[in-house]
Order: sequence, then structure tokens, then C-alpha cells
Amino acid sequence: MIQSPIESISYLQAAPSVLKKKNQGKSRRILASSLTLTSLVDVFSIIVIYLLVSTSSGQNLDIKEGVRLPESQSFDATAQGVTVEILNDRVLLEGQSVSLEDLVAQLKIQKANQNQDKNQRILLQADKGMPFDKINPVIAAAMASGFETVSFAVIQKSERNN
Amino acid sequence: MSKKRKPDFEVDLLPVIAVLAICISFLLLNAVWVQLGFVQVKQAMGNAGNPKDNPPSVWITIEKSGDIQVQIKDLAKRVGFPAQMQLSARNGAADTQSLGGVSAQIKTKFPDIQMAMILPSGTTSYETVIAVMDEMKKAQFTNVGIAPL
Repeated sequence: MIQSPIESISYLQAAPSVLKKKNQGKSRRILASSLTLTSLVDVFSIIVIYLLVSTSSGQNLDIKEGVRLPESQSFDATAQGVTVEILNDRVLLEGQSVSLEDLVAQLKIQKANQNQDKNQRILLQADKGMPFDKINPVIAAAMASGFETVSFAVIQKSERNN
Repeated sequence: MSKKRKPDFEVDLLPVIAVLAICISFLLLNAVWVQLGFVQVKQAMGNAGNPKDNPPSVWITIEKSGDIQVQIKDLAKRVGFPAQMQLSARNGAADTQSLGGVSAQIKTKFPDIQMAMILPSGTTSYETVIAVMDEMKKAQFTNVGIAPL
């Protein structure tokens, strides 16, 4: 029985000679190494539990590249509605480009097609630097087509940013 | 005589690690790092009633310079509080922090006022409008609206 590291080294040094006898002249070193998998499983389990807890089934929004949403502290986490995205050069209604002249008609079609809950709200996305005179026509079109509520997409403002 | 086999107590951890690695990959791809939400504004669809029946409300006008004008309208008794206040812009931007303080004062003095109407100018940024709406909602005004240009 090996009692100390020195004995283990001498054992390993002696091992080739021992094996040489067994393998008929072929000297092979058997390197025994053990990998502790229990620690790895512990780490993985903790990471999975953390990700499960922090994952939330919130609203899935398709935010266009370059669009920076404004921040807000008082907001509702989920909302269903017709998505309108206001970009610098165009307006997207449910992902489809639409002109401002056709917006009222298209919104009325959306209102007629969707279910009762969804068709009462517009989900509006725009960059935080967008001037209000570009947003105003969309709000006016929403009112003209009968949508009572307009919801503005925002990012949660952390208290540290105050 | 056959020898009894010793029971093997070793647990094969490789499948467990494989499953956990797949779970972590899936959860990392679907993790939400930024919380999205919505600020709701209920728009008035038209008021054909008597103007005298309008509920008391606070009107916030955001001017092109960034100055904010706060007016209390349709309030029968407004004792000890100015009808109109002007909040100057700070560093070229609207002073939403001072607006929050004024809104809280108005709400404390006149708790019956639930409606706040925001009148931005054409050049007011979307961020400023949201910040003003945020301050009014924090001051417990339940009915916040935006007036079209």
C-alpha cells in the first residue's frame, strides 16, 4: 500500500519495469488519471437553476437594429396588440411597410381581423430620439381607426440610473 | 460454483453532464437580459358633452425650448396654488425631475385630479414624452393622455 508521495513516485518509476516483464519487452506506461465530475455537475446544476429562475416569459418583441427604446420605471410587463414600428424612413405595421396615407385603412383591417382583446391596443415602437412630429401621425391614425389604447414600448429603467 | 458479482455502485455522470450542457445552451439562448414593457395611454375618442362637466385635469405643455408649462384646468377651488407654472429647461433638456416634484405637490393638494394631458411640441423627443408620462404615472395620475399636434 502506497503511504507517501515519494513511494508513489518510486512505484511509477518501477512500473515500466514491472510491465516490461508482463508485456514481453514492450514498455508501456499506464498513466492513471481521475477527473472529478461531481464538481462539474454541481456547477452545471447551479447555472441551470439560476437561468431557470431568471428566465421570464415576457413579451416577445421584434426590435429593429439601431432602435433604442426609451426607459421607464412605471410600465406594464405584458401587452397584446397590433405592433407598429416607426423608423426614420418608414412605418411598419405588423412587420409590413405601409405608407401614412394607407395606415388608417390598414389599421381598420387589423382591427376587424383580430380578436376582441388584441384589436383594442396599438403597440408602438420608436427610437428614443425620434421627434414627436413623426410619432403624431401614427397616434392620430390609431385614434381615427378606433383604437382606444396606445402602448409605448419601453425598457425597464433601473433605480441605479436615477 | 459461480462467484457472486459485486454490485457496481458507480454512477455514470457523463449523460447527466450532457443533459445539463444542453439545458444551459437552450436557456442561454432564450434568456431575457433586458426587461421590456409598455407604457399605456388611453386616448379620448371624443367628448360631445358639456365642457362644464370636464373633470379637473393637469395640462403639461412641452415647448420647443424644453421648458415645461404646468396648468391646472377645470378645478373649481384652487386655493393657494398657482393656475400655471413654468419649469425652465435644464442643460437644454426638459426638467422632468422638477416636474415630478410639482406633480407630487399637485396630487397631494388635489387628490381628486386623476387626469393629466401632455402636449408636446413637434420637436420634442420621444424619450422626453415618455419621461414626462413616467413622472405623471409615478405621481399617481391614473389617466395620462397625449394630445395630438
